[in-house]
Amino acid sequence: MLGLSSVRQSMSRSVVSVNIARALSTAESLKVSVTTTPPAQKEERIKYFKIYRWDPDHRQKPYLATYPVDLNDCGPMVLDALIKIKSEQDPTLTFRRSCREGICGSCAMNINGRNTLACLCYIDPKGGGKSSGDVTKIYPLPHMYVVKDLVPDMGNFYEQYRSIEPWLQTKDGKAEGQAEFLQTREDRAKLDGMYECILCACCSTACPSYWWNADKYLGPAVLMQAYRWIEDSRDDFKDKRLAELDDAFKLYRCHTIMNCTKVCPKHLNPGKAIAHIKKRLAEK
Amino acid sequence: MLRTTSSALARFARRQLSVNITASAAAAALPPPSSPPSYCGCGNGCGCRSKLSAGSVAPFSPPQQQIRSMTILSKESKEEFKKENYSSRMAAKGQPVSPHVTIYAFPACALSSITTRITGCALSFGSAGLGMVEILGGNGAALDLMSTLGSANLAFASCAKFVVAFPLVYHSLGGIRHLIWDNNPEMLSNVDVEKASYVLVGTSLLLSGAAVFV
Repeated sequence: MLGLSSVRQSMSRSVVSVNIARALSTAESLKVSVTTTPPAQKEERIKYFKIYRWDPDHRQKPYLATYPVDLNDCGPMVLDALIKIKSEQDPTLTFRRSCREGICGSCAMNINGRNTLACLCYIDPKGGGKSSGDVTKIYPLPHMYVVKDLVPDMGNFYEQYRSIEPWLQTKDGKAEGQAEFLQTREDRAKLDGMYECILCACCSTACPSYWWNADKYLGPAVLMQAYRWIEDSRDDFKDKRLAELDDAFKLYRCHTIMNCTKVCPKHLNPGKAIAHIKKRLAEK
Repeated sequence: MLRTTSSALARFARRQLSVNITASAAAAALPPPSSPPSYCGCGNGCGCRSKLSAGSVAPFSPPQQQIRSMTILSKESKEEFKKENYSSRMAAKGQPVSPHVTIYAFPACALSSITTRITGCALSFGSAGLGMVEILGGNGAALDLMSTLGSANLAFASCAKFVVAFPLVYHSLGGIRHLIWDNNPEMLSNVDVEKASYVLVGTSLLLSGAAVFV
């Protein structure tokens, strides 16, 4: 508490000194800013964050730790709060983050019962979701093996992505002097809404089918990427890719629950992509 | 206001302290780790037993070969994944599975899907139960049971009718919805799926409500 208030005091002091420095620069503004009183201390808006903790080095069960954060002194996103907690309250708090603008997919986690990217999720001052009052609950992505705190093991997810061979495959390769594989605008447009996937695994880990069958079911993210290559006009192995997916577990564990599309932080539609694969297979 | 927050913070600090105490008590109860982790050097938070004061610099010790708790993607990991089932391999490492059903805030579409599954199970068990009644009670026993329930007092009879009608109607309509979706993937958008869920619940409540008066 002492630390917090002294930080605030020093902050207000520095604001005042900046004001004076600015004021001294021009004569007109001097009159104005001398009469200005230093900004009144805003009322604290304490928000509690309950965060899932588990440390492999302590042989202890996972628990929820509570951290108070003054929202006046914090950025608007949940990731800002996490970074603030880590730097000011508990350096052992562990989570992944990188780009802070929703393009790397590192900070995927379960906030107030919904999977999302912490950097794209506003701190809800009223709670929301499955928590009440001024508490926000943060868990790692659901039904994943925890490495530490909010960091899950993504090995299975990436390995499944590898299994669909996510690269362009052609029968003949490039002809002499060919620079790129060309595609019409219409064919290119078919990939929109699929190529933007950042593989954050929010959708896959929101899917109850994936919770119960993570070993065999590929999950929405990977299936949408599979369809991205099936739909690509430049790829020559559509049939092979489709045949590979025609499996009771790999594809057909999808029961159109549609949690995937609901949570996608990039507003993509994996549920629709999976339905397209099923339809393709049914029409074959 | 400042005072209330300071008391809240003090309470919080006390709670954290108690967590630490329980943590250290748990650590003391367990056999001490064979060697302190090479990366700690603090002597406080990481469960090691070193007596280093906070200011002193930890003597450098070369990192020991440890079993990684995280899967690193490599050519070897590809073979590993083919050899052994991921879940059983991870379970053997003793890492916890993060919480799932208990903490997830399910949207309407998911709840309607789960209800389809539940009503399906209820119908299977119901029909299996009726079959057992028929087998044990002799020819026409199931029909007799149903007509007895149906002709009991009004409140009980309508409840019984609703309990049979709702799963039947809901599950059938849910199946039809699934058929429509499978033939028209374009209908699968966040807005339409949510609408379809509300329509499904509403219609089946209406229809099974009407079935009570049959």
